[in-house]
Amino acid sequence: MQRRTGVKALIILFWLVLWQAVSIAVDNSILLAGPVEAVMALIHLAATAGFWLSVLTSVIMICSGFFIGLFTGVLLAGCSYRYRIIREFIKPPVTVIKSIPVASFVILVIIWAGSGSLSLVISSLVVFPTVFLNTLAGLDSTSVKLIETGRMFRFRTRDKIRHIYLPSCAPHIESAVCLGAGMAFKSGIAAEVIGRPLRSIGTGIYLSKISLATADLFAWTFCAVVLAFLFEKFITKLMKRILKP
Amino acid sequence: MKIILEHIGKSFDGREVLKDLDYVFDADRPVVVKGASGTGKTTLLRIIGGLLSPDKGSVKYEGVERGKCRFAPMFQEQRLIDHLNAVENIRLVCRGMPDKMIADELTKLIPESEILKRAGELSGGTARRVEVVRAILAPSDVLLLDEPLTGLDGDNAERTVGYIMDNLNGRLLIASSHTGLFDGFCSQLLI
Repeated sequence: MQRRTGVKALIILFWLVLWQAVSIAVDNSILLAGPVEAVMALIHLAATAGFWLSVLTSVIMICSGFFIGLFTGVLLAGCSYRYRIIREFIKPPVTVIKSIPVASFVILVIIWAGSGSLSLVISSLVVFPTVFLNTLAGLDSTSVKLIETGRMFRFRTRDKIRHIYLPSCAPHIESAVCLGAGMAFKSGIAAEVIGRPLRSIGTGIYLSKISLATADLFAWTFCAVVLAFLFEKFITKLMKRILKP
Repeated sequence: MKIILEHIGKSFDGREVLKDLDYVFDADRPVVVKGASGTGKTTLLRIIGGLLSPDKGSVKYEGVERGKCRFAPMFQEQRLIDHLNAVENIRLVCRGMPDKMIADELTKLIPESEILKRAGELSGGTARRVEVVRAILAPSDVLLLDEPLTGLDGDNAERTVGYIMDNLNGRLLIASSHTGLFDGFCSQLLI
């Protein structure tokens, strides 16, 4: 185990050294800032209140959007499983939402609602179809035999959900949540770059672009990657706990 | 109570499995349904339990309203909740019954060491006996047992039949079985 961790650290170190070496060779911090410059930029940014406010705003917006997408996805999948007519009704918009480019949605949301809640709306729109389709697939794969057993023995609704439907749905919801968490951050921040709300990670990335501050761009990006990683870990653990029968 | 079958007919893919079947099941008279494989024993039990509709004829209930008749089924294959142990599986259908009482009842048919194992870890025969106890303890008007002795060896099968017959408590028993172990206790319906 220790040896594996050591090997991983060495591999990461190799890439960092290579990145630094290339940036020295290029010798142009606009074209390619090195890791040292990026870390310095991050330290510089972290010393300002605006940075933390931007991070906090983005996290709140994207996480709220994620949970709205998750909740509506699971709820509508449950309704669609129970009532055929709702399934037929919801499937076309889900297919449309899934296939429309995020950028188109971003423009629409900016026109309709401004950029204040942009990342919230976009992350929920990205998470919703994934969760909906996965949950519905899980419900559809529930053992008909166990459903029959529950019906004949008159299981309580909560027991049916917990012991018959949940074990079948859990792997599907878990994979959707894991996928959705990463997607929510990526699309939410991309939306912020386009919409530029007052304070957000995306706005920070945009500002680093117009001021050609590549080191700042890397610092904001690093921050986004770490947040997405932490959120994904947190939500995966949380879902495992909630979905445990 | 009585369940009355009138001219029941059922076909699958053009093959007639049940043809013009008339029969009266009475709570005073347990019945074992017998017949070779594929003659429609399971189909008949599923029709009685309301899981399948007959193509022809009707099922009538006397002494209990149709929608209110409570069935305690055993299906042809094992249908316990795999991640729950034997006591928890039975607790799902016997709400309010103390675990101790369920465990005591289980030990009449299975070794004590098996009681707290997850259903998914039980052998076929042990799981089958847990299902027998579940069907017996579940509040019901009718016991619908489809091949309840599958996977049980001679002694265990006999003990299980004895357990079922001792615990009917006025309920109607309709079992299907290819063995003769129910013959001494039940009327036979040959299909």
